[in-house]
Amino acid sequence: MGKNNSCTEYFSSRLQERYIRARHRSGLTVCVIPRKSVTAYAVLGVNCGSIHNQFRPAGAEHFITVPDGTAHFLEHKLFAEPNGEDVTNRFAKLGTTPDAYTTPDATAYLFSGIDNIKESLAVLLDFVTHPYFTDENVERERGIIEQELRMYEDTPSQLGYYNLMEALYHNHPIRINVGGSVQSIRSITKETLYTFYHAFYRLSEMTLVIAGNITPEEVLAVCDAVLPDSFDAPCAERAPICEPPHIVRPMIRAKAQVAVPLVYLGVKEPEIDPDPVARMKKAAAVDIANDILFSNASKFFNDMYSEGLINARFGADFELSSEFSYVMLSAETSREEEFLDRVKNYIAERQQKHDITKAQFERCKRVMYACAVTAFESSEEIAGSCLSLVMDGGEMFADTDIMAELKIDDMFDALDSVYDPDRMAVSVVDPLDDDPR
Amino acid sequence: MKLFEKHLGAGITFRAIPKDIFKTDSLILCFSTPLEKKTAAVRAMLPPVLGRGCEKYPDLEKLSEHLDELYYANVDCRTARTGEVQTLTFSVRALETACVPEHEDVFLSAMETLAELMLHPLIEDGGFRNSYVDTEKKNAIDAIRSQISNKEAYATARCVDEMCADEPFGQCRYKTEDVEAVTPLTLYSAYLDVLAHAPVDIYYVGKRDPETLAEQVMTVFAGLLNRTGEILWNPSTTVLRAARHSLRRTEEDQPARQGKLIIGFRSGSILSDGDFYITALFNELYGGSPTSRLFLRVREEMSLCYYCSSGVDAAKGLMFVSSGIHPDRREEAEEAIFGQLADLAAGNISDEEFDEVKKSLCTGYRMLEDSASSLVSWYHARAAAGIDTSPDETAAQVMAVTKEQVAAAAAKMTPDTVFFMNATLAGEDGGEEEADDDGEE
Repeated sequence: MGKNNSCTEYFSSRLQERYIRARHRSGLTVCVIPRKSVTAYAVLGVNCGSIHNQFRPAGAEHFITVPDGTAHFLEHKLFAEPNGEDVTNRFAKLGTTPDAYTTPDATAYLFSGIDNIKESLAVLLDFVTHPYFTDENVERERGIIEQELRMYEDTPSQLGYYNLMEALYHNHPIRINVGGSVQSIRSITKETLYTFYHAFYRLSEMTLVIAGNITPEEVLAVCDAVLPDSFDAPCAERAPICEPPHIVRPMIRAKAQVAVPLVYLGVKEPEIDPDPVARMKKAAAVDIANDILFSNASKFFNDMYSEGLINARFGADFELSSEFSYVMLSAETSREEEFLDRVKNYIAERQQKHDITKAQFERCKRVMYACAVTAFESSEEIAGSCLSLVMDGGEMFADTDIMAELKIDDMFDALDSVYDPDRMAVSVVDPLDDDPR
Repeated sequence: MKLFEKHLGAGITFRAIPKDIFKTDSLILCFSTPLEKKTAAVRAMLPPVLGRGCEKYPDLEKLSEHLDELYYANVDCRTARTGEVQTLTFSVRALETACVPEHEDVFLSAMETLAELMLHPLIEDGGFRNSYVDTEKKNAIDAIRSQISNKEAYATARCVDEMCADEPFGQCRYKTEDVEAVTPLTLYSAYLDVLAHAPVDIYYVGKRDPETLAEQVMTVFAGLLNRTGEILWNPSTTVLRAARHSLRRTEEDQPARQGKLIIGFRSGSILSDGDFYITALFNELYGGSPTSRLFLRVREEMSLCYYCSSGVDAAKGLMFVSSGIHPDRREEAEEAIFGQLADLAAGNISDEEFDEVKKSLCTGYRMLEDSASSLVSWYHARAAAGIDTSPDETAAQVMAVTKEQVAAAAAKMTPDTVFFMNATLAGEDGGEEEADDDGEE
C-alpha cells in the first residue's frame, strides 16, 4: 500500500459489497469502491463551502469575512491553468470529463470516464492542489458566474428555498445563496480566492472517493506520485456560528413566474449531535418517518393527491450535517392554507397517537434497503453517497446497518423531537399579479 | 453485440439486452403512436391515469404499498415523443432475486403488477374512473401552465412552435384546451385504440435467460399479445432536409433577469441515414461538450454566458443552440455562434480538438453500457430507424470519421428560426427583495 499509508477494508454482509478506506501520508482520506462497471467516477471533496465565509487564516489575529459566493467562485476558477487554458483540456486529451460543484458545506471536483483513469486521477489531484489566479482570469469568470446567478434568479424554486432559509435562520450562513449575489461577487479578487484557498484547501481536510475498475494500490500509487510526502497543515479556524434555536418569522412570501404557488414548510432543528454515528441514526429515523408519513404509499399522500391539494412534485427532505439541520416539505398547491393546516394537523396527530404500525415500519425498511442496494448500480451515485457520509465523519456501510437495526421507537422519538411546531416556518412563491401570459 | 429478439404477437417485438452488472431487472414496453394534433393530448393522459390504480390495486396507497413490499419495485408510466412518434412507455424495475434477502422473485411480481395496471384499469360507466381523469387533467394543465418556470425549456419549446408551426412536431405541444376536452369516455376509446393498433417494442435488461423471460412476458401480458393486429399504425416522421425560407426571427418579453437565445437549424441528418454519427461528432465539436467551440469561445473567451450549447435531434433532423445571456449582448453571441459554425464548415479543425471530441463522444457512447434505461433508449431509437449498431460499434465508426466529413455535416446545417426571450428585468440586481430584514452584504 505504499509507505506510511494506512488502509482498512470494509465489507457489508447485508449488501455484499466492499470498499477500502485509506489515509494517504499527505493527510488525504482515500476511499476506493471496486466495481465491474465500464465507467469510473472519481470525486475529491474539500471540507468547505458557502457557509464557511468567516475564518481566521493561519497566523492571523482576527477572523475575516469573505464576500458571499467566494467558495463557489473559487470552484470555478480552480480550473484555470498557468498556460491560460482550462484544465478541462487536459482531461479531454485523456478522454475523461471533469466537473465540480459547491454546496453549503463542501466543494467537490470530479471526473468520469473509461480509459486513462489513473492519468486523469493524477490531473485531478494536481489541479486542485495548484491554484492559478490572475486579475484577468478572475475578471473573465465574473461575467460567467453573473449569468449563472441570473439563471438561478429566474428559477422560482431557488427563491422559495432561500426565502425559507431566511425565515428559519437569523445568522447562520446557510441563509446565503451558495453562489452569492451579482453584487457580492463584484468584490471578489484573486487575493480573496488565494486567502480562501490557503485557509481551507488542505489535504488533511479532503476526501477522495473513486468507484470503478481500479485497485486501492493503483489509487495510492497515483497519490504517492502527485501529492506531498508530509502530512498537510490543518485548515483555518472557522468562526463560531451563533444561531438561536428559534426561527426568524413564521411566514415569508415572494412572487415569481409560477402557474401554481410553491409552498415550502421548513422545520429548524437546532440540536446537532457532534457524534457522526448519532447523526446517522437520527437521519435514518427521520428519513423513515418522512417516508411513512408522506410517500406515495401513505394514506395522507393518496388523500391529498386525490383531492387535488398536491401533485406528484410533493416531497419531504431531511438535511443533517455537522453544521446545520432542517426538514423541508415542498409542494405545489393553489390551496395553501388548507394544505398547511392538513399537514400540521396530520403531523401533530401522528405525534400524539404514535399509530404508525410495525408493518408500515418494516415495509419502509425494505424500501431503504432497496435504495442502498440500487445505489451500487451507478459509480456516480455510490461515490457521491460515500463522499458525503465520509466527509461528515461516518462510514458508508454503517448507514445501511443503522437503518436495518433501527427500532420503531427510535422513529417515534425522531418524529416527536424534529417536528416542533414552534420551529416551523413557511415560504410561499405566488404567481405574479400581472403575468403577461 | 446482437440482441435476443423474438416476435411475440401482431406488431409486438421482444428484445433482451443481456447485462450482468446490474442489481435490478428492467422491463420496458413502448407503444408507438403517430403524433397528431387531435390525439396528442388524450394519449398523453393515458400513462398518468393508468398509473393511478387498477382493479386489484385501486389507488396509489394500495399500489405503492404493494410495490414497497416488493422491495421498492418501481413502476413508471409516461409519455415521450421522438420526432413525430408519440411513445407511451410502461416500465418496471425491481431487485434481482439474488439481492432479495428471502430470494423471492419480486421482479416477476412487479411485472404482473404492471400488467394489472395496463390491462385491468378501473372502469366506470364505460370510461375511466372520472375522479382520476379529473385530477390528472388538472395536473396536466398545471404542468402546461408551469412550463414558463423553466425558462430554458420554455424558450426551446417556443422555438420549436415557431419553427415547426406547419408540422405535427410543432403543433403538438398540447394546449390546455386540448386537455380540457378529454373525458373518461374519449380517454377509454383512445386506450382501446392504442392497445389494438400501436406497434409495441418490449425490452428487457438484466441477466435472466431471454427465452424463459419471453415465455413469462407472454403469459403475464397475454391480454395484450393476443390482439388480431389487423390494422397496425406505422408512425413516421416527416423530415425537412433544409430550411425552406431565410432565417426567421421571433422574440417576446418576459419578466426575467436573463435572456434566452435559441437558434433552430435543420440539420439534414437523421438516424436512419446510417451515418448520423458524423452529425453527432460535429455536434460534440460545435457545442456538445466542455471542449466544444461554443463553450470555449462564447463562455470561456467572451465571458458572455454560463452555458452555450448545441444539441441534435436524430429523429426530426434538427439542431438547437441554446444560451442564457444578458439581452444587450445578444448580437455578439449570435455572431459568435454563427461564426463558429462557418469556421467548422470551412474545415478549420485542429488535430487536437478533433481527437479530443472523438474521445469524448466515444466515451459517452461506451458509458451507456452502465445504464439500463440509456441502453433501452439507444436500441429503441435504432430499432425505429431500422439499424442495430451497438454503442461500442458506433464508437468505432466515430473513430474513423474524417475532418472533411465533419465539415460537410456543418455545411449542411441551415438556420431556420431564432427565438429570443427578452428579459425585462435584466438591468436589475437580484436579491434585494430577499434581503429585506437585514442587509446581508
